[in-house]
Amino acid sequence: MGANDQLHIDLRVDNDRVVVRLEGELDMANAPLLQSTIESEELTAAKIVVLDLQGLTFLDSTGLRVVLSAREQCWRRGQEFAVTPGSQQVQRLLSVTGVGEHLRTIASADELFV
Amino acid sequence: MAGDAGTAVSSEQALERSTAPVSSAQPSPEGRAAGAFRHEAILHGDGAEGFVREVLPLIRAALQEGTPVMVAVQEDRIAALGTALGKDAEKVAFADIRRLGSNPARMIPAWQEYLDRAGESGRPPLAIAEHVWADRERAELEECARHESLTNLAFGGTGSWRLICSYDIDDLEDDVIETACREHPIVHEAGEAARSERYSGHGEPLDVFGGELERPVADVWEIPFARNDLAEIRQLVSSWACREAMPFEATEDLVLAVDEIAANSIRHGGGVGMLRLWRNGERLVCEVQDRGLIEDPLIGRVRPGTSPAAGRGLWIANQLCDLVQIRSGTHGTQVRLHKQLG
Repeated sequence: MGANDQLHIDLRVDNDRVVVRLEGELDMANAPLLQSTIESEELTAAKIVVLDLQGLTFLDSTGLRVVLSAREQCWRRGQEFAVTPGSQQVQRLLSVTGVGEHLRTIASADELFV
Repeated sequence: MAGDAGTAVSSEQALERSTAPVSSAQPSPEGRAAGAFRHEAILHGDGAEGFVREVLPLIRAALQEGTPVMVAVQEDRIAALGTALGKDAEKVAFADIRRLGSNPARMIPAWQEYLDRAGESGRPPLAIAEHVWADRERAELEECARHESLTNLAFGGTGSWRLICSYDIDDLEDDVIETACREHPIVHEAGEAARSERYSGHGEPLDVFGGELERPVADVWEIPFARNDLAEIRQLVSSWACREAMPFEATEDLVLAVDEIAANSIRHGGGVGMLRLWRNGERLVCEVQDRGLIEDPLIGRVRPGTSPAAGRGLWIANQLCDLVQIRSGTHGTQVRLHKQLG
């Protein structure tokens, strides 16, 4: 099974918001795929970036690195950044690393920002 | 020898608790000076009662001064101490050590967190801990000894708090007590505090990843891996744990821990590694071996922040496994993960 089969990335632009929906497993093998998505033009142009983790069944610290780097890049570009809660495994990783409490989490990808 | 810093001596070796009385006139370099971290051991017998007899006067004195007190010991000790303290027990933060410190590698960050919280009171805290108990397995005892050494390293340069580790001499083997005397500069026994002359920290460099791991007694399943094999490894560990009847959540934890350590091999250990799986009684053991070298002695024991660049693999493994053993040198690195089945 190739790395690209484990992770599907779907990019949806909705006005000033871009939703990056991740489906499958995000690990060392496919982290570069997400990294290049984050640097894509569609994403850099948006005001709000949402990483939709709801379809993500596995995340490890290499994947988390890309999530955190996306967050930093968005901040630097003056964009809002949020994630949706992932699977139990994803939440477990966010909790044991202590990263979860620092990520702005919204219930669904279309939730309004206040 | 530095390589022996964390290993228990053989039980044939005579137990001589060579200690000298602490003289207040003579400042010792091991942390009696004001402003330095004090790492001490209490040797007691007589179970919970003996424990209370030794620590009650210290806790009462601390509370009187307004010093924050945390006690992380076994539940029967907590109960006995609570009764003896009466109303004062409310002022003490208690933790069940079997939960908090089943994996001793979680204790340094636990103390750090406590220190950060207690720091607000302005007084350096007193902490009392019991890392070692009677039914700890050999591998756990080994890691507890390394943990005690690392505690000296982690807090050696920090503020003047005091950590007292209690050892029940009725329950523990002589070599465990011997190790305790080597890892703590001050040892209390029968109400008397004395400098431990066996303390190993007299300027010797610490080799926390030295020594060899016990050979597995069960059949071992060996799986070589390389870049792009992580998904397959996860699948394999998951179905193996399932076959061994490990509950779902524990399996997910083990799978993540193995993924992290194998990813470290790919990133830092020469791009390839060997995964070994076996069952040891009621535990599943997963070991990853590679050609890398781990140099940071406190790796996996310092809470990683939110920086994308921070390493998190061994931290995660420590949080998710019941025991993590690291051996590393110029020959390469082994990381052995133990996870309870039930």
